[in-house]
Amino acid sequence: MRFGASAAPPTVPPVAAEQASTDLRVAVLLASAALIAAGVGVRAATLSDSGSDTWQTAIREEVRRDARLVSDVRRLYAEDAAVAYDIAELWIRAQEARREARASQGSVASVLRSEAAARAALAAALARTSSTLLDSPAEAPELDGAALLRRLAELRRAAGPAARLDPDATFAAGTDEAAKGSWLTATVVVVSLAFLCGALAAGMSAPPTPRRRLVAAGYGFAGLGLAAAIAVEVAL
Amino acid sequence: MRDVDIETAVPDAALPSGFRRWLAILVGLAAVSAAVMTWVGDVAGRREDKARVDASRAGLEVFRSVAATQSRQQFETDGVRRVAVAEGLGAVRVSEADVRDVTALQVALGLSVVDNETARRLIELGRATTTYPGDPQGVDDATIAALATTDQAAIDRVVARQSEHLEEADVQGTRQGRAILAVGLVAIAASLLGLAGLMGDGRGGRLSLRAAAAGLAAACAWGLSGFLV
Repeated sequence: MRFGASAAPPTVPPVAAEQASTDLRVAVLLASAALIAAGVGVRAATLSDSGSDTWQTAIREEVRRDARLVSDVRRLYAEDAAVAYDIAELWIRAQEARREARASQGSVASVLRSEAAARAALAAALARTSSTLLDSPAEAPELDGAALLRRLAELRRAAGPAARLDPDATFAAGTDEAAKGSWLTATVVVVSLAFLCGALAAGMSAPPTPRRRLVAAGYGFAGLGLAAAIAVEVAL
Repeated sequence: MRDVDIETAVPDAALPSGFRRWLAILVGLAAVSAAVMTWVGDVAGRREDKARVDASRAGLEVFRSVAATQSRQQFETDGVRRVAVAEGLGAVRVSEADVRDVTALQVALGLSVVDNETARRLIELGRATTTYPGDPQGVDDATIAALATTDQAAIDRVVARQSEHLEEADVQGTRQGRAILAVGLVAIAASLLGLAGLMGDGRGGRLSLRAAAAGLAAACAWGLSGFLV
């Protein structure tokens, strides 16, 4: 604002004009850096939270999967395999009693044949009604480690979604998210260098050349931080 | 009347160059310190979370392995017991038989042979049921791993790993806590810098500037001290 009689236009010293222009660029630099830092920071915090949530999900999945796994293993060994073992033992006794009966005579042979028949009948009845591990009530059924694993695989398939949970994959996904968040936070450090340059430029009154260089460096850091954030977002 | 430019008529209100320079440097350092401490806190917090989750999963692994192995070992122990019972039964039949009754003694001898042969074949059965093929027959890896953890040393290794995770979580938690406090100190220093800018190069302004510098130094020292624990 000008007071006085003269209508001559005001004269602005070139140095003052230069300083005003640089001040404006500094203000824009600081505002831009603040916006970039805020945006990237929000995204990083969101990713970190999401990663942490995913890790918790992995624990819940592992609890569910393990509960079913332990239940299936208990079912195999405490029920299915135990019954199969009972049947196998009965068949073995029946076979051995018959063999011994053939080597014996008279009433001893009769007792052993009766013993064999009783054991065989009981084995067949158990196989028909209780065995889920042995495919058929055939004599001398196959019972070994492979048969146990096959039955366990059946139990696991019947478990449905709980058996198909993959907490390791979920945990790895959470780790990826959290790592991405950390890398984004690291890019804010680069953007903060733009603040440093801007502040130094603002605090410098003369000469103008170093100020301009500081402002240029500040824009460079701001751009570098933004580019790094975009690269992290796209690449990871 | 002489021309007067109101914007240049008053003395320059700019701060003295030395004070202004320090104010600018500290403002810039405050921004960088805040960013670095935030990053340190974020990384430490993430590692703490991960270590706690790892520890929890190790606990679940112990539970899974012990529970799965217990069922299997119980089954195998029952098999051994049945062998012992069959063998013992064969011996007891003969020893307890009435030697004056020839038929009864012959029957006891015959059944004893059956018992002994049964025991021999039960040993073979036990060996077959505890020998697993290389092919998992469609069983998932987690179940196989749980069943394969049969010795105490394997469990001890998982427990030791869990302890390491918990110790790591404590270290990272301390680091994160210190970084968060450092960010708070940087915020206080930034407020003091603003105050110094408002007060100018007077006694109060210089005092605020020094206090802000001390606050920034303390923030950096406290934040970085987390790496020494």
